[in-house]
Amino acid sequence: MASSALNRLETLLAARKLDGTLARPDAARMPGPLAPTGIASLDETLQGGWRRGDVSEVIGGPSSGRTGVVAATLAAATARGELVALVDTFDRLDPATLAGAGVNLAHVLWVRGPAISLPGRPPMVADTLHRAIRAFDLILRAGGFGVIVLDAVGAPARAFQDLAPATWLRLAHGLSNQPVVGLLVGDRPIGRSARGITVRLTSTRRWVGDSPQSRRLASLDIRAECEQAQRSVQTKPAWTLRAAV
Amino acid sequence: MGAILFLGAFLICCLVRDASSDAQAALLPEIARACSPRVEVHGDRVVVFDASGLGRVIGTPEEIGREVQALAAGQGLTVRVALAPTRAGAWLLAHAHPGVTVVDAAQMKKQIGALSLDSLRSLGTGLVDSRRSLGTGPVDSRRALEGEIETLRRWGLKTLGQVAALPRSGVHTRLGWAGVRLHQAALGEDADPLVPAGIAPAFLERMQLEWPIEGLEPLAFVLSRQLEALSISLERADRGAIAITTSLRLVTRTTHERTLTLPAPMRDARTLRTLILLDLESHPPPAGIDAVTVSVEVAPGRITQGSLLERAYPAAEHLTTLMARLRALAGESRVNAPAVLDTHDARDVGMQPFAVTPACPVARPAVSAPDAAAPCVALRRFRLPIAARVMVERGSPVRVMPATSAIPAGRVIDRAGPWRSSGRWWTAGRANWDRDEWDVELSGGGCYRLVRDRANGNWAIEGEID
Repeated sequence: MASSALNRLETLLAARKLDGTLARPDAARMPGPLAPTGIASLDETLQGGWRRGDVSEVIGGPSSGRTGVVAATLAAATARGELVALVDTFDRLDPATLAGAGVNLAHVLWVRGPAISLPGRPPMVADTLHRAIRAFDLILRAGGFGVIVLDAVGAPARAFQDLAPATWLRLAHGLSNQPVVGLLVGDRPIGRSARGITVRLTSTRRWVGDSPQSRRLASLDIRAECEQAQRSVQTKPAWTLRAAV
Repeated sequence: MGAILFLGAFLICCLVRDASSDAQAALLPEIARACSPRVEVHGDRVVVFDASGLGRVIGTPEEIGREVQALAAGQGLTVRVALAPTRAGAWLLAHAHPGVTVVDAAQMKKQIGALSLDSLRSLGTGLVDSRRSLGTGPVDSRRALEGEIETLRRWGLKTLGQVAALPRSGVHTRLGWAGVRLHQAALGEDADPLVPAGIAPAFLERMQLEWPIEGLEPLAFVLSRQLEALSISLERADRGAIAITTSLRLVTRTTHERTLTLPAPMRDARTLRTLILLDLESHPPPAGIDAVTVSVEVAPGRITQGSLLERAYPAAEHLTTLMARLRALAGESRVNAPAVLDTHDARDVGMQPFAVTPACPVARPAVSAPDAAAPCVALRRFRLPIAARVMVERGSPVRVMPATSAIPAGRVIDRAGPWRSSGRWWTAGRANWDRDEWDVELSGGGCYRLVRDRANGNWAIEGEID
């Protein structure tokens, strides 16, 4: 009885295309093509890269390596000849950093939000975040981009709570069945899609140099935890983000 | 002389503008087009048009000639008018005789025959295209024509009548096809038919409104109608719009005009309407609208072909619309591709145009693929640096207290620096800089770029190393 009721429920959800939240084994769904992240260790963890047609997340604390991961992803994408888009909610991007990571800047659509000091006034931050999500949606609907990144690092938790509950569901629905990688970057989980991946980063800083004059930050040693709805949390060996020379 | 009747024959009119009326040169083709739709333009001094059929409207050929001359005089032009059964005859007579000359077939041959050999020089302005026969450029054509005239003169010929009396086969043997064309002209025969020049179409739609409208929503309906008609015209002419100008005449008797430059020729009505409305959202008219005029500058339609081997890139229409929507959302100067500037001032931010068109599709970059094993640390810049109070010991920061709660205050665990840089000392204001930069790791977590302005001693956090 219970199993037949469950089957009817799953059939009903599938008919209304809401079956993405069901925790079915991966074999039940053909995996979409993958977009390599540009970081070998992370690609190994993700079994090839970011899944196209899904919204994934890169989250972590300050200096955890989030921006480095995004830069590597964009570099790999532009190296494949794809167009990429970066919705920079609070105008934090440093073009020299992207260029140093190997990103082809001419193929990056950069949408700059207002440069406001965080935490900022709540109405202004909420409006800025709302515009950023709107820009993400516009780029997604236009099509033709391989990777679309929404950088919301620094946004207070309350700004996300003020969003409509279906915001991320709408974005995920718009992204599904499209050859696009959606990436959300933030301090905490934001709204990945049911089949997306959350990559939670922590880092250890490595300083080199014995004297005060030679001291410098050499690298960030990153550790990642990957969460996915149908998989348990996996922690893989770390990779290193080396400091620019 | 009695009236000349042209029964069932062509009547060709040739207008030659005198050099004294150079200021109104552009009016000459318009005068011809006012008389006939079949007009052939030869530079800015000579036009030829088919006047057959004007007899029903104006009258005899003499009356037609006088009317045309009066029409030209009314526009400030002094012209010579010649009407003859053939183009070559009208051409030669218009260049040779001032005023109005009207001849029938018999009179044409007689009058042309009386002209001197020098009359043939008027043919070098375009009627005889020696390029086709000699395969040479315009300058060479004139030289060749002079050579042929000189040859005829050496043969002892003085008039076109004597040239016409020569056997054509002999002329062809000695002077080739160029000589044959001169022989035909001397007889008043046309070597080529009259080829009317096409009128450059104007792509413009104007609508006078019965009552003023306010707001963009009613304007959208008006624009839809106009742009649908424009789109059909563009498609028929195989043209695309490369610039579109919207002129709104307001109730205040002023005109609100906006011009959009498009990255690629396009003619989709919906796309054009969206772009116009997005632009007017950012630059709305200050008053109600009385009349709407939409005009476009055109370019030949482009042919695009996709490839099965390359990744599909966004169509120009979609990309243009997307950029317009994003700029309306984020600001005109806030949407583009990033660019690295050639400067040592780390505060400067550059942007470059983001455009992918069929002419420059997304190509694999020449640089090698990034090293997947060792990606780089990135810097997140705070465009508005965060002020901080810093405790310093022995010249190094030991404690940082930012002015915002977003970055927790903390002890400096490790540091690197200072790196000193300065520049533009010759300018005043924000453009010059003289500062020390530090990379610091705080006990509260996080590595930051700390900057001290040496001019005033202020500290600020300019970025996060992430």
